[in-house]
Amino acid sequence: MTARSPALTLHKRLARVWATPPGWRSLSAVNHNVVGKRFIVTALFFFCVGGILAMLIRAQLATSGAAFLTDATYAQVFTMHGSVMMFLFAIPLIEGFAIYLLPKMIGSRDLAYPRLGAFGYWCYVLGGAILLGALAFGLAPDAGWFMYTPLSSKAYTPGVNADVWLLGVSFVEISAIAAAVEIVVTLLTMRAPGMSLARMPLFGWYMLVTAWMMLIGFPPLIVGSLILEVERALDWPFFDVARGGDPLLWQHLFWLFGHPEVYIIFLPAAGVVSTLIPTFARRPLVGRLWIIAALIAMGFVSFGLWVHHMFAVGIPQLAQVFFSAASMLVAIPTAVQFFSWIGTLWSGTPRLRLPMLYLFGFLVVFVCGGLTGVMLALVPFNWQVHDTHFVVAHLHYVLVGGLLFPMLAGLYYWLPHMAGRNVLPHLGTWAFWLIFAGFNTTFFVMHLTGLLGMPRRVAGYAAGWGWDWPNLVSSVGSFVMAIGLALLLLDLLLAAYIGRRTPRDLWGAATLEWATPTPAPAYTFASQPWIASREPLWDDADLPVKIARGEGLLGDPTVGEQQSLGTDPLTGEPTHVLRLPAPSFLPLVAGLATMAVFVGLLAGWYGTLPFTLAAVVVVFWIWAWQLGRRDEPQPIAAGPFSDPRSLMLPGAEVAHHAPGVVGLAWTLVADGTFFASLLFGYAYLGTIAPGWPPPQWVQAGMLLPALAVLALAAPVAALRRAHRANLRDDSAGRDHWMLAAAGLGLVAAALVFASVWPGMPPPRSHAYAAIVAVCLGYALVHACIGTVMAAFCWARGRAGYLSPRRTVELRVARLWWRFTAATGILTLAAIHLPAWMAT
Amino acid sequence: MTAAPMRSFPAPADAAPPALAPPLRDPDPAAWDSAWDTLERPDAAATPTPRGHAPERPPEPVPRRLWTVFVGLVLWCSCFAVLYGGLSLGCEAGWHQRPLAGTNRLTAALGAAWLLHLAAIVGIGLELLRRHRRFLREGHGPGGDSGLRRGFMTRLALVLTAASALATFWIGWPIAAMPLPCV
Repeated sequence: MTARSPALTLHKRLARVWATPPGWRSLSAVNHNVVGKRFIVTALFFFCVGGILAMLIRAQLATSGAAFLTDATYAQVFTMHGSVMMFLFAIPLIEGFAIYLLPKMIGSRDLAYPRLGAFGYWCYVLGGAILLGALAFGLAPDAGWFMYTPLSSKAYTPGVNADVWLLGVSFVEISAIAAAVEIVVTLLTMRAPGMSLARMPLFGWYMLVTAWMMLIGFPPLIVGSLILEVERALDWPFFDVARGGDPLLWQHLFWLFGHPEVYIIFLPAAGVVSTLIPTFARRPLVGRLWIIAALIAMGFVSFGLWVHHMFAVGIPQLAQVFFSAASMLVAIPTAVQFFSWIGTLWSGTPRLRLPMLYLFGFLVVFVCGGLTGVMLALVPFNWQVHDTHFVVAHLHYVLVGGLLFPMLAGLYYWLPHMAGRNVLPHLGTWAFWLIFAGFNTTFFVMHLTGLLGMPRRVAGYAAGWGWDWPNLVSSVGSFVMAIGLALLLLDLLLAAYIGRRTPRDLWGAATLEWATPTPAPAYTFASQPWIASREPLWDDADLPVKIARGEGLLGDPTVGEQQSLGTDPLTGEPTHVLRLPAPSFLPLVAGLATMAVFVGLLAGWYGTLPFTLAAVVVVFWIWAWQLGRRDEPQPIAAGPFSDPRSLMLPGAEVAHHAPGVVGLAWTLVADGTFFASLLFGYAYLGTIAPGWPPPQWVQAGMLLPALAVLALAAPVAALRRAHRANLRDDSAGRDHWMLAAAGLGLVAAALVFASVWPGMPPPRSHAYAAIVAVCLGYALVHACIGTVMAAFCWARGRAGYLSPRRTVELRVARLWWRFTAATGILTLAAIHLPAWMAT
Repeated sequence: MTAAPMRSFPAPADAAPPALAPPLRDPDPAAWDSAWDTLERPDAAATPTPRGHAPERPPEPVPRRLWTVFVGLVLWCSCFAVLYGGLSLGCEAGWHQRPLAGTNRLTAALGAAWLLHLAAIVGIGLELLRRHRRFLREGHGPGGDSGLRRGFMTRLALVLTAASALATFWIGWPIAAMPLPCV
């Protein structure tokens, strides 16, 4: 018997270690290959649903006076079309691509939190099921995908429809924030050795900026959804003018999310463009530095545009000019990217392959959408076409041009990677031309419909306004586009099953994902390569073979666990080795438990909440308990196959950039934005809303609030003492202080509650009392979670998971309590200072 | 891992992709692209010991290592928030009705906040440029002189700071052009 080659030995070993069980047990999959593909396939399913809804809309509007849909059904259909396309198609498709591709592009074996990725997937599927179930039963949201108040308030939408949107979308957004944290931590701490930030592939840069934007952009909508749902469920008047509320607060919170959302959708798609064009032009992207600068600038500037959706609500002209100026400004970084793409094609040797055809569709359509965007940024023009079909045409040019065409190009480009097979000739080309012609027929004409004055969101129109023929043309075009999309889906489906098998690196690309076998094995890379340039596969065509032979790092053929390298965020120097989790049903169970909470809220079964919330706590307790280890981790052999012990690295349990700590830090960025949005709502109501000052302020002396502030600081001090005791290897002292921290956390929660609630007017009486109650709730929830964390630390210490070197749980609890104390003290100040000054 | 065998079209004779011309390449950047600080240089004190133990000292936090890249845009955000928030609060407080030095108190306050931000960004940009030139002159950094000129993160910081200055100027000039801010 001959000795196996290193490549075969490694493959056999790693395939066994990283395997996902087959059949129904594959529901336990956490590997990014599986989860990423599931995201993409599910997003395409929801795309079909959204597309069918769009066809219903166009069938209704094809002729004047149509009775195809009733007004009520039409309202549900157009609301669900927008919601499904935005929340269940666009964002999850991007997440799917990111989850599948990013580890491969940066030379990692998996994402930082595989179970979190799977949990995000189940939240997405279950949240989507709630929304689709409501549609099937005629209970779908019907107040528009923007859910403007007071239309969406209880008085005008008394049914459960708006609740479905508010709770279902919030549920799905958990998935998006989970994905964002995972992407940021993976990109910053798990790149291949030697891959400095400057060498990170452009798609990684785009996703890094996008994930940061998701962490900042989504919390305002979650705050808005939370308080609108509370208003609907408990009659707390955040948006009721008669009781000190203001409907415009909803618009601010929604568009604080909604406009960055456009760029959250566009940037990953632009990342696909920036990845594909160098491949097909056979040269690196021209002006790489300018592209990175442009997308970082877009990430910031896109948060200064939201009021251009509100030009018609009556804000001062100077404020409108601020936002108009910023809206024009954002065109510049977009143009920088366009010139870079054109320059790359101009100076390279471009090849026209099928993905490039879709990229040309993107270039044409998105430029048109961008130009009408600049028109809409001008206030006088905006007023003229406000709420007309011109805006509908513009947003479709931006979203279909900026997302759909590039992502379809990406699908055709990476399909051979995902399936190991390529599409049949011609069908994709036919599909492209039908989509391109159908899209432009539908939406170019719609600009004219809008300029002729046809309002959006109406179920019908009378004959004689001149709207008949452009609507008919749009409807015919939309059906042509639908046929093209059906052909495309058929093409992808056929390719996945009977397509031609493809060689590795079919397109001659430079990025690392093409160094894996196709379809990619669960372990992705047999060893992790050293990276010395931005185009590793163009530097060394034999790199895939060297990786397979174990010539990179982590090439140990005796490995018995799922490992991947941790590296320095900036330099890419290897710093530690992560042990990644095996397949687990916990993400699915956690998703179901979270769904039970949302269903309880949706159905008004508030009595079930203590039980469902307890179930969530128990599941995540078990989840966290499975991490870490009871013994002192020995340095791990991280060298190549030939000599694994030539590089020894510490395990992640003792590393400074332990995933738990880094992940919490980024989660707190989103949490901090949530808190800032809450305070913004409070300040907005206090300064802008009518009916202020409130008839009654919170009545509390100085003593209780002062005690509450001290109580919030006490767990921080106790955990600090526990940490010091732990470093001294004084386990008794450590346990003592951690138990004290848990107890002090409860005391802090009680004192914060006692310093506000008894002296507060009833939350139903005025928006002031309502927003104060929500701020109080925020502080209490954080104190309670902090208490659970301190108790968890205590239990972990008792079970032997902590030592002077193994401190992750303690660092996590300390970080949480520092945040909780800071936000809690700010909350108390925001509640009591105005009351003290007023009385 | 190999996929389960499935029926597929027979591969045509020309299934193998044609040989591609070698790609055009840009000049090779230096091993570590940065010119100053420890921006993209390995920090010896924060890397694991040769025996595989975690270093005693934690590495510099990422925000501190990357502050030069983001500071200009953060100041732009601050300027935008101060102008929009200040306008809303000032109009509510009636500052626009109180004259001050030929204009009104609100316009003056907004203008001062705008100029302050602009001055801060320009100042930081000039300081970054000064440091960049000093490093070029003195030849610091691991990449040698040629590497320094291509310092990626350095140039990124300079470009973004300059862009922030222009963006801050662009959003603020309407303050001077619209003397009645609360209309």
